[in-house]
Amino acid sequence: MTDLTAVTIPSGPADAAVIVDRGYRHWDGERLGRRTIRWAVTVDALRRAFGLGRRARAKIFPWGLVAVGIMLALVITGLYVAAGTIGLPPEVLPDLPGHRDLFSWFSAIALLFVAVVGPSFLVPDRRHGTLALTLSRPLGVMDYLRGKATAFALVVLTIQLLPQLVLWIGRGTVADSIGTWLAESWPVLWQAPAVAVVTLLAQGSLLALITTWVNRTGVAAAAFLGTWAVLTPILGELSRLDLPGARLLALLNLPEHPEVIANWVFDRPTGGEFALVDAGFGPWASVGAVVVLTAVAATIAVRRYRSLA
Amino acid sequence: MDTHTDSPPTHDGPATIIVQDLTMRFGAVTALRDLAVSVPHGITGLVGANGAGKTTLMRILLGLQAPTSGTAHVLGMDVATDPRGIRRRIGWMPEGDCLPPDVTAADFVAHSARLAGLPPRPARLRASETLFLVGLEEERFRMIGEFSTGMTQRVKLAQAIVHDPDLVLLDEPASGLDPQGRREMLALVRRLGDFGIDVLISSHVLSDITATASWVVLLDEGRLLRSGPARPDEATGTIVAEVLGAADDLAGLLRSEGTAVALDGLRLLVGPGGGDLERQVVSAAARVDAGLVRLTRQVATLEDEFLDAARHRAEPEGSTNGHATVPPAPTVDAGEDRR
Repeated sequence: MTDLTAVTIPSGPADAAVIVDRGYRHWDGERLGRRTIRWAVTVDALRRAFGLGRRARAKIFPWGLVAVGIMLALVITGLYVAAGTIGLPPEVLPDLPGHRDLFSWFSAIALLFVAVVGPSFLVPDRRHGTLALTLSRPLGVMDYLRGKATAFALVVLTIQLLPQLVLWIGRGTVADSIGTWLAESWPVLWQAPAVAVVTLLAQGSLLALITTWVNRTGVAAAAFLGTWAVLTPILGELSRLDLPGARLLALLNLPEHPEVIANWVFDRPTGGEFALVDAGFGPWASVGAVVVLTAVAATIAVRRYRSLA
Repeated sequence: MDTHTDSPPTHDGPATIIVQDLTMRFGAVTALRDLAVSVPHGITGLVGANGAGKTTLMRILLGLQAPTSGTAHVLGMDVATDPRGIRRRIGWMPEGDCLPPDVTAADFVAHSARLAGLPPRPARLRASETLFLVGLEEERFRMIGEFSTGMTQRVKLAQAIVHDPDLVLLDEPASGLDPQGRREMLALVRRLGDFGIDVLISSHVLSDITATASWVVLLDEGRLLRSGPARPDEATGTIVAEVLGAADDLAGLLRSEGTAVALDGLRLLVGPGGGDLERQVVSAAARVDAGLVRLTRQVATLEDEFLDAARHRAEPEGSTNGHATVPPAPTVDAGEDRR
């Protein structure tokens, strides 16, 4: 319905003019449900992560890293094109960098992305007081956290998988035939997502533990990077101590799990430099550890937010 | 008017908010004590000094906080069983900072509308309309971080009403505003009532309430002091006379003529009495040669009412130890026009 109040000026040279008070329009249209409201939380978080609707400065970092990832994939694709152009023998092609190598090369950039962009999913809402306002809408803490988690997953998976997709398509374009290429490369279509999901859970669980407590994005980013960097050397040494149960500490080594699982998934050897391997744990133990650690981090985050609400 | 009652005070017509025996404790601190109040449609002022329990009550009404005991119904819905249903039909403007500085007002208010369940396109359209309504036209495309306090308060109001709520809870909406900004904000609040939106406006500035509300709920230390219609300041029938000297003589003469007088130094409270009270005081002052400095009719304000009610509540306690404790009154803003 429309509430327009028009006051006509009765006489004078401007008697055709009206002063219009647009008033307030009531809304009797559709009101969408909780799923749509959760999606609104997700969209808002995605916009913040990629700097959309923000100043140019907020866009430089996320889009810069996306560009770097795509460039890396294009460079590797270029190697395949060059190999085909100069007619390298087929037995040389497997030695060219592939999807597993792209994960390795891109891992530092992806980690930096998670460290810098990741805190923006939860910290600003608490810092600016927007959380209270959001929770005064018809959604609960779980809706809010699920919306944010969905956004985080979409961002991290996009960052991890977009270069892989570019490489996969690029290698397909230089293959002898599409049919042969699909037949040979289809495992990549599950291998790459599997590694990306494990990386997401490992990084996400640590990030959740930090960003539910730290109220500064910069501090949270530094804490995440610092913890990620020291976990492997510290837990590696502790798990190798000759103490009962010390080997179990290797399961807390979050940075090693994605590496071990990536080698397993892409059928690469995993050496004894990994504390997990030294402690006698296989890839399934890593899968279990990542799932349990993610569940623990999620539970702590939910409890924390329930207390904040 | 209902004053000092233990049961929910009544009013004509249906209630927007009904609270029964509501108690809220935070550890050793009791924010609300057995509160029972019924709020009618229209604009209602929630008045109390800082720490009186206003914000706690609003958070309970929003379903954000579970009370220690008691019940609360908003728009006919129980906050304990249907908090999301309530929040779908309610808007909230908190007192403190709640806006992200790095987004435009238009984007933020549109997002607020989407969080209330409005589809994306109408949400954006209504965001623009609502920001226009609160006086942010071209500014709506600027980052909120660049806004003045007044503009920030307008954005907070816009997000509270963008989804067409039936009731809005405004927590100190004029907080931090200069007199001009305060007047404009209160005018906007009054307009909400004209649009058919019920308003619960909390403030510790009494003039904000008298300028907007048709019903007043007075809280003190979590207790209900009064719930009743807001009345404009009215003459009490008492005269305040200030003299240069001979105050005792003037008081004695007036008393001998049968008029009640309370003496406070060189200030006399005379009456209550009829319309010729001023003439009687002037005549008596001339006879005892007391120089009159000022002669005014005493006006009963909401502040007086608050203090009277608080004193009334404190008396039973005071009678046991000899000291009646009266809480600090809410603030009367000197920069605001009395209405």
